[in-house]
Amino acid sequence: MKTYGLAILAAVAAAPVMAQETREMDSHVHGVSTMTLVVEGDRLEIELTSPGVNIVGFEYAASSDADKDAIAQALRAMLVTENIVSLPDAAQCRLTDVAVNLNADDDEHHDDHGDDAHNHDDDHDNADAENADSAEHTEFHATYGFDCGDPAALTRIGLPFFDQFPNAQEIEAQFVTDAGASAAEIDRDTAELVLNDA
Amino acid sequence: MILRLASQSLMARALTVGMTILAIALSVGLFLGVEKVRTGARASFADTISGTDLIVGARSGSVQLLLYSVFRIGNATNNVTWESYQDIAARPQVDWIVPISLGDSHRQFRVMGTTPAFFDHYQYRGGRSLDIAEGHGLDDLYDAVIGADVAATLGYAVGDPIIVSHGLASFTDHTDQPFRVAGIIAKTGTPVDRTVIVTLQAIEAIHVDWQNGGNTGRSTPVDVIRQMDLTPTAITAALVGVESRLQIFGLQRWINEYPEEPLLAVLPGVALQELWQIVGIAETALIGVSALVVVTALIGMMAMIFSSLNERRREMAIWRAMGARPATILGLLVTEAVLMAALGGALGLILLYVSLFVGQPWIDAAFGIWLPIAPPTLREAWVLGIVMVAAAVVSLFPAIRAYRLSLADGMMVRI
Repeated sequence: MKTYGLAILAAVAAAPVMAQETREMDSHVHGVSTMTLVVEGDRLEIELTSPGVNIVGFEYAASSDADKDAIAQALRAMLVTENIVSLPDAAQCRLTDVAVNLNADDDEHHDDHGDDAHNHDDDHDNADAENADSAEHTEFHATYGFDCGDPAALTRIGLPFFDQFPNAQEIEAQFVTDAGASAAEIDRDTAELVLNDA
Repeated sequence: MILRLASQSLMARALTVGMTILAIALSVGLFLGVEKVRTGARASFADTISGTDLIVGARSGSVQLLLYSVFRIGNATNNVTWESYQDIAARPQVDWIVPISLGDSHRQFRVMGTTPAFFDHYQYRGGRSLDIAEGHGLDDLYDAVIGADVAATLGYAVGDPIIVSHGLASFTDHTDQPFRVAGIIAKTGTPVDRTVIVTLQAIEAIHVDWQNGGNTGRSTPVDVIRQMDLTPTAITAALVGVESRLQIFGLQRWINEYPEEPLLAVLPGVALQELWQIVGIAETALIGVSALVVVTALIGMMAMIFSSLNERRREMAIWRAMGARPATILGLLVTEAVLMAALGGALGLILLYVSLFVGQPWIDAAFGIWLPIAPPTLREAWVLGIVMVAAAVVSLFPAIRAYRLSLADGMMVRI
């Protein structure tokens, strides 16, 4: 009985929170992946976000074994750095860390929801339902970190990513190097990011 | 031999040849000028801000944010609340943050409220800092530091009073609270030259008696205002420097996903790149049009040579009789054309530099674009070379005709 009362109290308390909840969604363009690249000192960090349709060809929550296999295979492929980016040998870059996951952004949002309304089951269910909705647009997310012997030699970065995933059409890249910040659109045909053009 | 003949022949027809050369000169000057303005404008924009990692403003377009915050072009869609500003400033990744508040003006110049830190962190042209040429920085609430163009245009010296107008192009002045010119910034070639800089608190102070955009009629004495809490409620934008470059994108994402207020953080270089993508279409069109003008001038030259053929038939025939081979006739005409193109190109280059010298200060004052006067580059040499080759190709048509005619005519010219 007591817990019941608490639940009602929580529900009432949670109501204004729900009303104030901000609703927004990032834009999501099929075929277009985004990449950020930073060079500072010897450190090179690359982050790649790609809609699921580019990688596995679908964006619904995987239910069949075939779909799950496809996702597992894609994640494995993205873990192998050589499948995604090829760095100039002269730069002597050594991979130090790599992380690949599916739907990273939505997971973060989920955590936030949890913080907002603790010990309240209803709200949690809601958040889950919301998550399921947004999961219709799944995104693959990969980060790669390198230590480079000669970062000045990082002039061109090849993107075998396009060969690996035939559905990927374009990467919108933003990069920051000693020459400053800039952006580039990379398509299948070039499949290469040219740095240090400033 | 042919060269001397060709130049003599051109001299003999100085008027028509002169007009043709002038047409080529104008077109080449235009073509090179468009390129100069294009690269000059790009360099000018790119040089305006450096050392700033992120610009934060209300959520709109990244290009728009860059334009209003740095270039004072256009206006903000929304302001950023002071709470959000402080939230961002408290992020561990933030090395420094400088708020900017726009919206008031002095004559034709924008007034910008900021903190003294602006002078420490704002950098232009690859890391140069602002240099206060005369006077000092923002020490007092009613101190104003003005850009070089403001001082030059309005004839201000350190110590002069300044009345700030409410809004842009408005007739209501903040007469009750005059500012004093505390310092004049050395010429930078950036929009800072055309800006009156005051403190953020001063922007609040002059609006103390204003509510909902109108003057309430009351006039709070200055010494009362000095005692008031002048913490702003909102700012227009903020410039941010991060501790480490590796954190730029993380901080950008945090700001863009900031739940309490829709904010936008952009990397200045990336926003500029986006701007060039938009402007690039117009640029290509401009270059295309000016290239067509060059083509038109060359076709004009071809028409001129064609029409001269008839009057020169007897001349050609005499040359043939003197022992000139038909190939010589052809060579003569092509050489004439190339000479005209070379002269036209050279004259065009001179025209370009003269107009650069004349127009540079005016373009700087009117548009804030500083066109550097640099010696001709390899690219210009290429353009001149291509124009000469094109002239040779174009003149082949009348030359071949002359070649044929001179074969057929012999001495018997039937005119």
